[in-house]
Amino acid sequence: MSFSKTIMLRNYDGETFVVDEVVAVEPQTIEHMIEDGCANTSIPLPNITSKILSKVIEHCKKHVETPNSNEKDAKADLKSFDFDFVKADQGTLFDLILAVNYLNIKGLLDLIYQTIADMIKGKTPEEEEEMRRVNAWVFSCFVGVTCLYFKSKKI
Amino acid sequence: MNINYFNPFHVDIVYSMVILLETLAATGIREMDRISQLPESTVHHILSFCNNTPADLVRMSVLSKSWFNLTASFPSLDFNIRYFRTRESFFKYVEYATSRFCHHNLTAHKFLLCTRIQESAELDVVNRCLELVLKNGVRELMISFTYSSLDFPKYRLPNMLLSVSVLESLTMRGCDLPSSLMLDAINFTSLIQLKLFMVPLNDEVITYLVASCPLLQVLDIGICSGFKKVCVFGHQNLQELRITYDTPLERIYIEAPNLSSLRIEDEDEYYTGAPRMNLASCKNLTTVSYFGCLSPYLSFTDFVSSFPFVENLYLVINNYNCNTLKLSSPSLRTFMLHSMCGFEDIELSTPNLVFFSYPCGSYSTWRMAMHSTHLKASMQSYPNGYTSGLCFQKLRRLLDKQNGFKVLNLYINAFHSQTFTELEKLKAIELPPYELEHVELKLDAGEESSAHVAFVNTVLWCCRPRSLTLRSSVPFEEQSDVVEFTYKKLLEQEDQGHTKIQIVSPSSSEAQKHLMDLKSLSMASPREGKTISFIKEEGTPF
Repeated sequence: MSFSKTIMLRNYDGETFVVDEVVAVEPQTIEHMIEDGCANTSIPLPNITSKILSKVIEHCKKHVETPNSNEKDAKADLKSFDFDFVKADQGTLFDLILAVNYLNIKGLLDLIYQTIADMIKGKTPEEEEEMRRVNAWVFSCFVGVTCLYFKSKKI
Repeated sequence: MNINYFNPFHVDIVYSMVILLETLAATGIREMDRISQLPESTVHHILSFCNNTPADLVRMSVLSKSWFNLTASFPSLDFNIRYFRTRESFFKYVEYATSRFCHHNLTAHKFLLCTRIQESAELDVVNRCLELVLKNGVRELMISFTYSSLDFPKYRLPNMLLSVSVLESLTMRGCDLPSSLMLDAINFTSLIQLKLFMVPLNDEVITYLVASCPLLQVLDIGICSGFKKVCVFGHQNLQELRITYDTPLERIYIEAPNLSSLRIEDEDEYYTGAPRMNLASCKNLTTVSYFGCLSPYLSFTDFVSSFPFVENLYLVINNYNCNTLKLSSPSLRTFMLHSMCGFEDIELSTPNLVFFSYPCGSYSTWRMAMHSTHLKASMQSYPNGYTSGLCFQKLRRLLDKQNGFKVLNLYINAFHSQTFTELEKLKAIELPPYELEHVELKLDAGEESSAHVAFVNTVLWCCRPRSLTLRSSVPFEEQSDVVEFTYKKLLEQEDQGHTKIQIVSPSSSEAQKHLMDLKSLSMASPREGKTISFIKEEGTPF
């Protein structure tokens, strides 16, 4: 029976999260705090909400627990976990950016950035409805302007 | 309208509206808004994950004022004329985007410029932009030019380049180094990677340049006329060196204790022989590839002894006219060889050799072999039209002589199998089949199954493997005669009563485990096609 050290994280809402040390040091910021000896009672993370912190911990846990092998299964499993992880609603995703940036978790940060970059490149199903609405407005502007254009060219 | 060709100064209002429409169609307006409210460095980091063609960036810049500023200060400037419909619009865009960025007085992360030059006016634009960028510094700079006529003098980079101390990577193609190179101090204190192609160089410039870049790790010199020697003295950080030349190179002298990889390519039309090489102090030089010739006075052994610590060697020799290949190297682990002439006799005195490929396969196989830690001594052969020399009787004699190989991979394509498979000659040498742990044969799809059968027959005259894998792009269900013949022949090699042959086809559950076991035995060349494996097992007598 092994005794694994745990770390307490106290956040913005005053809630305390107890995590295994090996999970807690995924974020570089926390790792440095522990090294510097600031983590005697609990680590304060005043600018992160419970919702976001629990998501972050979930991600760190999954990546720590998955063996670092080149096995196809393990990699595929991790990939599908990441895929589902970023399907969060936009609000959560953006809140995550600031938190993950502060905590300095490179892997998770790249994952989120890539997701947003993909958003810029192409549309997700939720936005199609919005776009149709916006496009209708733009289209009517377009028609109006085209008419003005042709009018000015005296066609 | 093809929005991928961009023409930013089309003042046509209709065109602008179409751009706006397309942009909004591509991304929801609300989320683009949200993204633009993130900190600037975060947005730039996100943008670095996107493709960022000029059309994309301009689309983004018209979305809102914040997007206009965000794209203007995006520190990655990448200009390639292929995205532009007219030359005029390209150069206008380069000037526009560069001046917009430099207005912010920030250090650029990247400045990449790739185009053909037709008029000197275009070079004026380039020069103006470069001077703007170099003033505030840039981390990665690439200038790649071709010219519309041979008379066009190569563009000479401004002297300011030499004082960019934050520069980490410099790639120049078809241009010239600053004129004050040998006069002013070079301030490349951060330069890690230097690549020069078709840049006029001479011996002194090379030595001086390398000496002025104390952190330099990668040096790549390609087709730069004018140098006869490459001399590097006492460089602590140089790790990779690549030299490609098309005029005779006389000498290579390198003192770099951390040099690990060397690649030399002779593209000279007249085969004059290998340069004299002095690399004895490069104790970490483990990976060497050489594409060129050997002079008639330099034997293989002498050539390889220039690299006393080499572990991985890839040789493509164009002219060596000798019947014997004698090689001695205590450190050599992997060796891939291609030569125009066939060797009658191969003698390898290489106690640590685990991978020998002759005639050699692809470069990518070499990478795999290099990084395989548990490879058992294996030999790989891709006979081709040039090496009629290596036929089965020679192969058999080689296996005997080397007496260390456990695994043999043979890849024969239809065209050459006829000359390779001369069973009578093989029988004439009267050596028993060589015992091996594993043989892997690739059967070419274009052949008749009778040819496959003949091939397997000859292979099994040559060696006696404990397991054999056939690989083919045609499923083995359709090649039952080959499978049956192989099975029969393998059984014939052993005491009939005591040996069973287990057939492992890819569809069976055992296949994965078997393939895993074989990983250490068979070279993972591109895992294409279907496989079927035959494994001999000691069984109980009937």
